[in-house]
Amino acid sequence: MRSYEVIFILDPALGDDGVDAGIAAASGVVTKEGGEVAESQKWGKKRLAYEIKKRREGHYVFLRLRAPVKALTELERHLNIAESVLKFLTVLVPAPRRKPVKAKASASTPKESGTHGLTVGAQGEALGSRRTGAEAQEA
Amino acid sequence: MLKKRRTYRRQKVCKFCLDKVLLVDFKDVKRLRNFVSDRGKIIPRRISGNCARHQRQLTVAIKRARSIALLSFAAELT
Repeated sequence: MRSYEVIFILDPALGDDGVDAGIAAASGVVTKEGGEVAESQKWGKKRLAYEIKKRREGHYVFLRLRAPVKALTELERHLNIAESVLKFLTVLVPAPRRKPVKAKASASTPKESGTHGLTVGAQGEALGSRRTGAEAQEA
Repeated sequence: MLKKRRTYRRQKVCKFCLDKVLLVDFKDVKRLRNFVSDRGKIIPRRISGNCARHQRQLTVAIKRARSIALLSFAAELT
């Protein structure tokens, strides 16, 4: 299972029902393949930065998924086929990086070559701990 | 001469580091707009003052935002 973010743009001509149907279809594909939709947001009708299929607007839909790779390929296939989808983007959310502790240990012990190396190590450590803090908040 | 030039320069700080951004988000269009010229080009690190890590994340984020029409690839022809 991996985390993904999916955004797709639906035809602006669709009403609210059409948008909901589009979301339901997409999440149906995901759940069928063993994934789950953690979050779905409707961003509403937004102006596109450039023309897509002769449309200047589109309904933006954002999904956050926990899904196996197979579910994602299936979802992409579905979004490619669905005519109401103007464009979509799937992004793999990087897995939380672990091991800031290890980095800290290796940085602090062998470096005696000068203060410069030490300061770099300290910065890396600070960054690492900040990152884990934010993840804890998210979770 | 050198000294004089130094007085003109101002320290540039990475805006993402200031805000403690862990990962530059492609959905955050408002923020990304600040790092794109009005022609739609990505502003180089040399000018924006971003740190290497955040600039790397930023370019990816901007490219993603472009691909779903949140940002434009280029200014529109008129």
